Amino acid sequence: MKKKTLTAIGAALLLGACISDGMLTEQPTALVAYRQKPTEAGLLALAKTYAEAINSNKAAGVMRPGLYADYGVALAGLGCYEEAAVMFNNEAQYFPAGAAYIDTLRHALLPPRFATTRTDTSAIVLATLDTIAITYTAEEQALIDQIKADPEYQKQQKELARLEKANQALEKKAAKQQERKAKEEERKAKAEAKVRAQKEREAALKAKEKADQAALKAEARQADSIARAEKRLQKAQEKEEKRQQELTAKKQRREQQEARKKERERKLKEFDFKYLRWLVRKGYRDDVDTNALNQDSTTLTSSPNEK
Amino acid sequence: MKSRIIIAAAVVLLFAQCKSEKKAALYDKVYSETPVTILIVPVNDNAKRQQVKTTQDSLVNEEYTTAALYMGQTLATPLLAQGYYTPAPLASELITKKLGLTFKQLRDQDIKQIATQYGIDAVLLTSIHKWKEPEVNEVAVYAEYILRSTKSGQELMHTWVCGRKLQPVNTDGEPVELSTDADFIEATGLPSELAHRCILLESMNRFVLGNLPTSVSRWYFKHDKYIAASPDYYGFVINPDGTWEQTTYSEDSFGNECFTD
Repeated sequence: MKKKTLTAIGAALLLGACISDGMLTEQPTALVAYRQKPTEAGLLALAKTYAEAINSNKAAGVMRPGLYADYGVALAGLGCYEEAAVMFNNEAQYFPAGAAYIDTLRHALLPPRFATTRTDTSAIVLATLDTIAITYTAEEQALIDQIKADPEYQKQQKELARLEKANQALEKKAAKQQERKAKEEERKAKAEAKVRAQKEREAALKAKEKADQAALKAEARQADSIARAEKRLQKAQEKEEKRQQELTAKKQRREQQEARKKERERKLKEFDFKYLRWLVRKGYRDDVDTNALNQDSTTLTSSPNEK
Repeated sequence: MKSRIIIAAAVVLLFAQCKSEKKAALYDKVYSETPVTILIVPVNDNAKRQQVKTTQDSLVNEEYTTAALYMGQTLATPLLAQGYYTPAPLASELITKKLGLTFKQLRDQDIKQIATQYGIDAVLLTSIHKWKEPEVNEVAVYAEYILRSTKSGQELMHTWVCGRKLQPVNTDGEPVELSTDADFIEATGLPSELAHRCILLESMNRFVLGNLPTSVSRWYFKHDKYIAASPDYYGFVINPDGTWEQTTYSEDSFGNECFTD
């Protein structure tokens, strides 16, 4: 139970730390200073610290509740009503729990014509705050004039201007170097791309050649197999023809044999008949019917060959 | 026999000390009303100013004023950490001005209008009653924290704290700065004495308001019901090594020290 409780407490602390902790602004005394001396210059300084705090919160991926609202109040105090309206909308969007009082602030601080539903949670450009025209109190103006009249301050300003100029020159030089470097890299990249393209083309050609050779080989193999098949077919046909010829020859031979056999039989029969007729004529045989013999001779006179 | 009595007394004392109130008992109204939005009213600076006889006295009086402003600025952080939503200082001041109510009226009268007009569930009323410098290396403050519901008018929290900050001293007895204090002085640019007051007030705010239950907007809501809560009257000490400590205070001793010279 104790372990669970401790784990739960640890988790709660961790969750609590997820909210942007610490100071409301980067300069915690800015608000105190403004409360002590509520002048426009103090409000502008406060607005700048709020803007810095918002940007650093955004960079950290968190947003502290109330930050946009207070920045909006500061902007409204400086007369930047439209930006203030946007900041109020940001606060209401991020934290709906505060929507009711935000609405009241909007009605209290902004003229009706600045009613907008626009939100803008992009980083705040601090330089825009420098363009806000503010009225210094007599005391502040006297202090500013006194500071400006100080020779040490003027010396510092000159030094600052010189350093600024040198800084700009350095930045320009750095930018040129950067440009040159970028061009060099671009040129290198182009050359590399060219070499890569050339290699790709050669590889493509080789692949094409290889493919063509493979296709040719395949064609040759196919032709070869077709020729073999045709040869086999021819052989089979020849064999079949031969067989047919043999069969025909065999048939013819058989027919010839039959014919010869028939001729032989006929001749034999004719011979027998003629022999018999001689025997009868000679009187060697008197058991034969001579009419039948004469009839048979008529039929026998036409041999199959004579026909 | 005597030893048995002594042992029995020790056991009773031991159990008596273990019996501290839980948040469920002390903050039962917070758990039932579940406030989310808390308006931080500007700090009511009741501390008596020193009679101005020397420049030092006026400096000290200025320090009291600045420290009270700083305290108001640092009340939001521990509330946000507990999951409550608080309007930021400028907005809070504006709302308080628009309400047109004094501190006393906010503490005692009906404040339902704050809930209906502004959607605020509770108001935090903080007072500084007294500053004290008991020793060279010590600064003490007596403060009061009231968290009041706008809907029911009830007090959800009422704590009286005596905060003390002890600065470490070297072998010659002169105060020396802790590294954390030195960092704070460098970051804020405040004079050392004022910085110590501000550190004490900010730490006290974190300690007191960190004791509140977690807000209903967090998943941890009600999981902390059975954690021990700080009592209504207690002392808060920042030791020379920078560690925090809670000490016991009775209502009578607090009243005597705070409201009597």
